[in-house]
Formats: sequence, structure tokens, C-alpha cells
Amino acid sequence: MPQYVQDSLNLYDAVLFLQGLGNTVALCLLGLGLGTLIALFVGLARASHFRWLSWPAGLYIEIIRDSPLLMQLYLVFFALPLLGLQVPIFVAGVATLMVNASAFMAEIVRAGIQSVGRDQWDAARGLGMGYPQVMRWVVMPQAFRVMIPPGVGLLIGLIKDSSIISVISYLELTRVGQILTEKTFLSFQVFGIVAALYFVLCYPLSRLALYVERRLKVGG
Amino acid sequence: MHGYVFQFRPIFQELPLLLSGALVTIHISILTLFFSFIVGTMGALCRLSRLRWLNVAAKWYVEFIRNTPLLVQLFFIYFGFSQINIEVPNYLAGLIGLVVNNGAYLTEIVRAGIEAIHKGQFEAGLSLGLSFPQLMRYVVFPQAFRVIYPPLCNQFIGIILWSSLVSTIAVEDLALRGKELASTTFRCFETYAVVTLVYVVMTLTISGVLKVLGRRFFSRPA
Amino acid sequence: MRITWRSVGVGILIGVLALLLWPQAAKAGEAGPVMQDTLNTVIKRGELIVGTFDFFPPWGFRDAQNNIVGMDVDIAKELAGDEVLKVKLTLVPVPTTQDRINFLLSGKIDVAISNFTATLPRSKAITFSNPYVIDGIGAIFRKEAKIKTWADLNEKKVAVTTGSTGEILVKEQAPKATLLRFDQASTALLAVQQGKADAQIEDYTYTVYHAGRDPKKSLGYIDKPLAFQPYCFGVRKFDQEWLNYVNFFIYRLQQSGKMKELYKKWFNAEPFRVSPIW
Repeated sequence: MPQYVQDSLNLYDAVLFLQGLGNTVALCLLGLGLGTLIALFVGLARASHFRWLSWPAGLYIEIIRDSPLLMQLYLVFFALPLLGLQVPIFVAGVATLMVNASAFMAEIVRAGIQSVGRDQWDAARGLGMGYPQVMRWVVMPQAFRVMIPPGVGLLIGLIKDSSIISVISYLELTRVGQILTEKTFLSFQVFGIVAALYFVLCYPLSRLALYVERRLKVGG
Repeated sequence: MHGYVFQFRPIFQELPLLLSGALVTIHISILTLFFSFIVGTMGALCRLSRLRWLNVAAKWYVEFIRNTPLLVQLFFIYFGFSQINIEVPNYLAGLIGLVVNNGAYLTEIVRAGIEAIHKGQFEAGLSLGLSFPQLMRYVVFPQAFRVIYPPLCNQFIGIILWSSLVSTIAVEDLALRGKELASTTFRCFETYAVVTLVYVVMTLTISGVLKVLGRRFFSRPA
Repeated sequence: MRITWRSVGVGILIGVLALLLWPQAAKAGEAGPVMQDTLNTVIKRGELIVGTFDFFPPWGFRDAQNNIVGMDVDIAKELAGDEVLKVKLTLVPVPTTQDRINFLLSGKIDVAISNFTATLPRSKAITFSNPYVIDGIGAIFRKEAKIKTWADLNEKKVAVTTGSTGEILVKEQAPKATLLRFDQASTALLAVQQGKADAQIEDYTYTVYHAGRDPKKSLGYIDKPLAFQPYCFGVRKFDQEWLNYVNFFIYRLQQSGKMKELYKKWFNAEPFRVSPIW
């Protein structure tokens, strides 16, 4: 019988590593991007004075933050189709990360909005601006600066969390690690490389977050 | 779609099975909290130490752990070390992985707590003739703990949720029981919905209790 | 920190949800079944999506170029390329044993061709085609363990794959064995290689293949299978036309000798005799 034995990593495996890396990045950027869009609304609702807005937003945030990502993934991937929604693998991965990110991002948005001093609100209102104008021209630009460091932190967290998407067979970095370990049984080397690649992705981002934070503090 | 009808009864019938898994989850979470707190404290002391190599070593430990996923760390410990002939049974591997992972985060939390204490406290304590361990035990820690407590509670909640990953290395926790149940009943939605429910109930209860405890012990003025 | 009155709100919401869905528990499959028509869907789509394993040589595994190859893959190629379908083949590597059913039920794949053993409990959730090959249950073990029969497994650590037929059989036949459950057969095999388990119970052809390929030659396997298992295609329920189609395809595959040819290619042996119908 054609015996297939591979005792060391080869060039094709290197290509697979890069593929996994690229897929991870794509997954996380989309997940964060879409999640932030949702988070803007949820965060605004959460910071709102109206109880009927802030309470359901708070509920949404609380449930997502208090349940394991693994379960959220299973529910999106396996359970939604039973209710009639077809979800391809990549979409399911993005959707889960998107929903998860939106909850954490919403809190960041809320904190950002609430960090803008009351005096700014009053001054803008005094100038005759309506609520949307105040938001758009006064509050959000300032809130945005506050949101960036924790936002980058969230991106780092998301990159790490994306390792779970491996369980639905999406070819991201951790899944590549599993595939290559199954083929070669060289788990020490393979997962060492995988960890190093994640590090290469995340560490620069964490330095960036620190840098931005320092710049914003000095700038005032 | 496929004419699917929700049937929760088979799941609720197996609730004891799920709860036995939940017990394992809580067990490993508490052990993790305990050991990672120790690791975190040692790490924090290293970070604050004047010995450069300790400082740098701890810094790299924290950076490496915080910038790599827990799942990969678990696989590395469980499978990787076996390859170089260090045997690690699965529960222990899960525990070590969680402790090493959370130890890094706790290092930063404890460090922030200690740094929050006014320098004058250290000087006053030293001038009173207290040795370093005594200083730590009677002056620093009681005050630091107040600052550490809220992020520590959040970290504990995180431990409970992320402990679900040890199910991938065959530890019989709540997540693995859920997978088993889903495969024997073929009802994935109901199973995972109920398992998620159990996790949410666990975390909300525990965080509520911790918050109440926090108010009780820390509401006195400093 | 979490606010307690919101926790109460969440608790109420969850409780209400559970109560609302409870009455469903009394009805058992009352809603009318929705007929599937995978055959025409595949033809219209121009693509056949097949679920296989990518960690289970020689049925479905990755070669040096990391392509998915294997016996099941070749059969899938035959199915996609036959005179009626003539469509593109897309392989979806299914990560674990029970994911075959999950992926099938959630519409991610059209058919599961992945050394899928037909069992009665599984037949409650999905439908099996006629068997295309007969395999068995084997054991792969560290040579020191000397496993000959089911009874030898008692008091030993046995690695199994969650949701596999091997797991169920071990529970029945060797109740005193300590079970180590893994998501995939390859991780279970790794456990045996690393000494974490004394034996692995898996499909017979898998054990023979891996015992042979172990570089340290420290693994043994049982000569005759402990139990016989038919491998079938897995399809969704209420999908009669598709089921008829694949059944006839399997019959043709065996009758034309193609099956023998493929089996010889991968196993260098004659396949066990398969009866043409159930």
C-alpha cells in the first residue's frame, strides 16, 4: 500500500503556515471591523440616558461576555442552520468573532463616550447643536482617542481568540498546527512555530497600543 | 428547514451529567486561581525587583503568554512536551496551561496593586525595622489587595470561561460533557444552549457573590 | 463589575426562554418533514461538497503537498466525476467524528464519505447508504501491553475518539478499562505513542496502517478485527432521490471492479465481501 510517512516539515508546510497566518488576519480584521460597527450602536445605547435603550444593550453585552466563546461558536455554526440560516465556515467564524467583539467593544465605546466631560456637552448644546451634531463633531472625535488603546488590546485578544475557530475546520493558524501535527507528529516544533507566529502578530500590536497610549496622554 | 423541532427534555434529563462536568470546571478554576495567584505574586515581585535579569525574565514571560493563544499553549504543553519525553497527564496539563497563562495576567494585576501603594508606606515600614517579608505581609499586601480585588474577580470569571478549552485535551469538564451529550443525542442546538446557560448561571452567581464579598470587606475607608 | 439587578434580569430572561421552549419537549417530530433534494441542488450548483477526514490515513489524510488524499477522496472524485453529475468536487475536512453528522445536518456538506460506520443510533439522525466497504474494529497498542481480545483491555488505559463506534464498543466489551477520550483519532494515536494510553481502539485498517508506519516499531496490532463494521455514505434524512442515487453509484462502483482497484491501490489487498443490498 502507498505508505505515506513524513518525518520533518517541508516547503509546502511552510506555505501552509503562511496561509493559516493570512486567514487568521483576514478573520480578525473582518470580525473586529464589523464588530466595531455594531458596537458603535450598542455602546451608544448603553451610554444613553434612556433605560429602555441602555438596559437591553447591557443585557446583550452581559450575556456575550459571560458565556464561553467556544459555545458561541457552536451555536452560530451548528445551531443557526437548524433555524433556516445557512452559514458557510468562514462566515460563521467571522460572525462569532464579530458578535463577541461587539460586546467588548461596546463597553469600550461607552467608556469612551462617558470620558468626554460634561462641559463639552453643555458648550456644544449652548452653541445650538442638536444631539447628532454633538455626537459627530464634539463627542466622538474625543472619545475615539480614548478608545484606541483598549481597541488595539481587543484586536490582540481577538487574534488569540481566533484560535478557537479551528474547531469548525477553518484553515486558520491553529488548525494548520493541528493538521501538520497529525501528519508529522512533531508537535513540539509545529506548535512552537505556531506560537511564534502568533507572537509576531500580537507583540507589535501591543507595543503600538502602549505607544498610542503614551502619545495620547502627553497630547492631552 | 429540516423540519426541526426543539426537544429539550433529553438534555434536561442528562442534567446531572452536565453538572458533574460543571463541578470539574469549578474545581480546575479554583485550583488555577490559587496557583496562578502565587505565580502572579512571584512574577510581580520579579518585575519590581532591582535585579535586572529577574525583571527582564518576568517581562518576557508576561509578553510571551499575553501574545499567544491559550489553545496553542495547552497543545504545546500537552503534546509538545510529550514529544521530548516529558509525560504530562491531561488534567495536569490543563491545569499547568491555565496557571501559566493566568499567572502572566496576574503578574500585571498584582504589580499594579503593589505600585498603587504610596512609597511612603514602604519607607515608614522599613524605618520601623520591619524585614522585607514582614513589610510585604503586614503593610503592602493588605492595601494592595484592595486594588487587586476587582481585576482579580474579573480574571477568575475569565478562568471559568476559558477553562472550557481544556476539553480539547480530553479533560472531562462541562464543555466536554456537552460535546458528548450532543453526540449521543444528536441535538446540538439544545445541548449547547443548555451548556451556555449553565456557564452563564455559574459566572453570574460567582461574580455576584464576589461583588457582595468585596463590598463587605472593602467598604471600610483605608 | 457586574451589577446584581442586571444579573437578575438575565436570569429571568433565561428562565423564560427555557420555559417557552419546554413544551416542545413533549412533541416528538410532529412538524412535517421538509423533503430534501440534494441531487438537483448539486447539479444546479455545479459543485459537490463532500465531507472527509484529513487525519485518517489511508482513508482521508494530507500528503506532502498538504492536499487531501485517500481512499475516500478517490471515491468522492468518482462520484463527482461520473456521467450524470460531472461537477466540481469540493472537499471539506471534517475535524472530528461527530462533526460528520453535525456538518451534514447543518447543510455544510452534501454527503459524508469518511469511513463512516453505519450504526442504529446514528441512523436516528441521518440516513446511511448501502455499505461500500466492510472494515472492522482493531486495536493498536504498545507491544508491552499485548492485547489479544476485548478482555485484555480491562484495567488498561484505552484511547478512543469521542462519538466513535470504538468508544461505544469498549464501554460495552471492556467496562473496566479507563477511557481517554479525544476529539480525533490522530490525537488518540499520539497518546498511545507517547505512552499516555496503552491501546487505541479504532477502525481496523487504521490500526494496521499506523502500526506499520511507526518508525520505532513499538506498536502492535490485532490480526483479525474485533468486530465488523460497514462503511457507508452519510446523507441527510428525507433525501430519498439522493439516497437512491448514491446507492446505485455504490453498486456500480463495486460491480465495475473500480472498488477492488481502489482497495488494491490503498491496501494492497482484497476487500472483504460486501453484500449488494442491506
